[in-house]
Amino acid sequence: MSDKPSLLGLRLLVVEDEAMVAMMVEDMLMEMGCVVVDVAGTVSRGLALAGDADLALDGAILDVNLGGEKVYPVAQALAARRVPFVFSTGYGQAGIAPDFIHVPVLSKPYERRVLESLLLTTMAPQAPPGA
Amino acid sequence: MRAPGWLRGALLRGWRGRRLPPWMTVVAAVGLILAGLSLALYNERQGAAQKQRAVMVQAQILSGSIAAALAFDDRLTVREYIDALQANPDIETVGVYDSQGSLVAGYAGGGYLPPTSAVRAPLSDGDHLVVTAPVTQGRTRLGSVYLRSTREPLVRRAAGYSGIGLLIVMASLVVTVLGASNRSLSRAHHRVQGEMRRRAKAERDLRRSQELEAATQLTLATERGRAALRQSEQQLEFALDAGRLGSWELDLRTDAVAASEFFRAAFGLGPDDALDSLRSLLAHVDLADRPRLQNALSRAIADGADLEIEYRTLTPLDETRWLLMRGRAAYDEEGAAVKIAGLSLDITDRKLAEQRQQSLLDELNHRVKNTLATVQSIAMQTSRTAGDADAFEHAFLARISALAQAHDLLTAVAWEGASLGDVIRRILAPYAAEGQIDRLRMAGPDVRLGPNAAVSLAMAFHELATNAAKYGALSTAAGELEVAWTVDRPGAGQALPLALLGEPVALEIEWRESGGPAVTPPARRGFGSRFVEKALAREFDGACELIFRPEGLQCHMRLPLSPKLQLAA
Repeated sequence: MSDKPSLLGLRLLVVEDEAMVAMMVEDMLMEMGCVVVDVAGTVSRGLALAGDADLALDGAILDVNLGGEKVYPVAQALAARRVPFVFSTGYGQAGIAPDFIHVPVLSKPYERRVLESLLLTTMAPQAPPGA
Repeated sequence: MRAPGWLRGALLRGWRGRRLPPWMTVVAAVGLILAGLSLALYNERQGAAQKQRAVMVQAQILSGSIAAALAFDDRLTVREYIDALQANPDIETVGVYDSQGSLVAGYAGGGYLPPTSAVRAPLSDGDHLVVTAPVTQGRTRLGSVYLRSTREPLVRRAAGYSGIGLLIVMASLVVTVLGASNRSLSRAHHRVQGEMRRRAKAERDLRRSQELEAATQLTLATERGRAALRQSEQQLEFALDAGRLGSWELDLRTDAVAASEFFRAAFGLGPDDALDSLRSLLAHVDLADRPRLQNALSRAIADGADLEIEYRTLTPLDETRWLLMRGRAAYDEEGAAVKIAGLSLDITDRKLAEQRQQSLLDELNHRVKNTLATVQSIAMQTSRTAGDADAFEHAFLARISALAQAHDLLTAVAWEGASLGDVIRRILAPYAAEGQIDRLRMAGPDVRLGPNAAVSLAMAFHELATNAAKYGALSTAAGELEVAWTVDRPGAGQALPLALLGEPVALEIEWRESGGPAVTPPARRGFGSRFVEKALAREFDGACELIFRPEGLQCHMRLPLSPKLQLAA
């Protein structure tokens, strides 16, 4: 493996409630060499996955608004596991709760380059590819 | 010369306005005339007596002078004495008689000379005076003398008296004139005094009427003022009431708060609830806004600037209301702040509307971004599966159209959601428009979809309908399609009454095609099946399955109910 930070094999959880958008994110991540462990459309499903200690995760992309519900419980669960994550939202930085003001925000619609560099800076260094 | 005291007194009294009565003037004049007459009479008498004495002395002198001559009967000497007397013009007649009474000598200057003598008492006869005197030597009577003297002529006496009379007349005239002038003066004085009294009275009356007028005007003005004040108070009250404006006042010297009904209402307080000090007012202000309100009040009091602040109140029922408060401080002559007062307006509704508008704007922004992300995804997915540019264009535009249909439904209800039935009908409408409504059957309860759910289900039904139109039941005239949806409750299927079933947990949707060309499972799964079976199932945390039966495609969806997918009330 090269020393260069790489997204290859990075195990990611996607929490996104719009089926169409979720598919695209999944496709983009797979094209970058990531492993999309699962895609959750609801907070409860997201919490179940994030809280599953057996599920190895290197990072997560969380849509802030899930059909009226906020994704923050999932974010807290991930933070508790020290799993890095980024938010994705159409609201921009202004829509983020004060507790998570430091979390990087990915704006919709997505730009592949922006998504890639954001994942590299937030997840790749701390999380070398797993076994 | 000073006038007698009484006269001066009378004049002064007269001057002072007490009128000298006319009878007094007449009495004074008559008195003066009587006094003058008495004086003339007295003077006449005195003059007569004095003349008598003078003639008597003359007679005695003659008697003494001729005594010797008579004793010696010296007639010549007697004659000489008598002649000497003739020098006195007053002595009119002189006679000298011997002891027998015979006339010795004499002369009668125009009067009668008695031939014999007789000594008797002096006799006054009008204008004449007759005096006799004896001639004696020792005790011997030698004869007698007779003198007849004229008195001062009446004309002379009358002239003398007329002087007195003139004086009296003058005095009378003076008295009369004085009286008259006094009267006229007195009358004039009276007139002046009367005039003055009339004027004073008129002036008093005028002043009184002016005072009365002024008082009336003042009363009228006061009443008008009061009426106007009452009216303006009523108008103000009505306006405050109509505008739902509250009024408030804080007395800075006593810390007392006076608040109107509407002001209190914004704090959820009634007329009897305590709101009597700044402290109790602040206690009803939302903790987060309290320092802001305190600062605003302090500034307004300190520099006299207009107070305008919007803050939240805490009602006793823990309700939050928004209040707009405007006011201004008032100061006394020394510049010390006395009070601060103003109006208030409950702007809770406005704030809610603002919040709603803001959230709508945020939501719209979110929707636009999400929609762009959806379009982005559609483009990507379509480009992956479309064989050529034409196929891409056709499929892409059709999918964008399905997205637009969903948006139309959502826009109609301000993006609060859409009905499942409406979404299905909208997507299938192109296939029902050709007079073939009979081949489409749709049935199910009213299910409300959240915006994302509506978009995703619209896309799913679009993929299914497109597939059916291309390869399935909608590709032939004989094909039929049934879309039925039901709500699953725990215990369903055990033939229990609805009331005994549990709360609904999931939506079951059945898509059933029939009568179309015989179906064979595709060798390769396309975008549509991936979207329905994977993406849709994940979105709802449910399960979706495509079953390729020879008689027609079936799609079974089981979607757990959630806030974005719920049974309509």
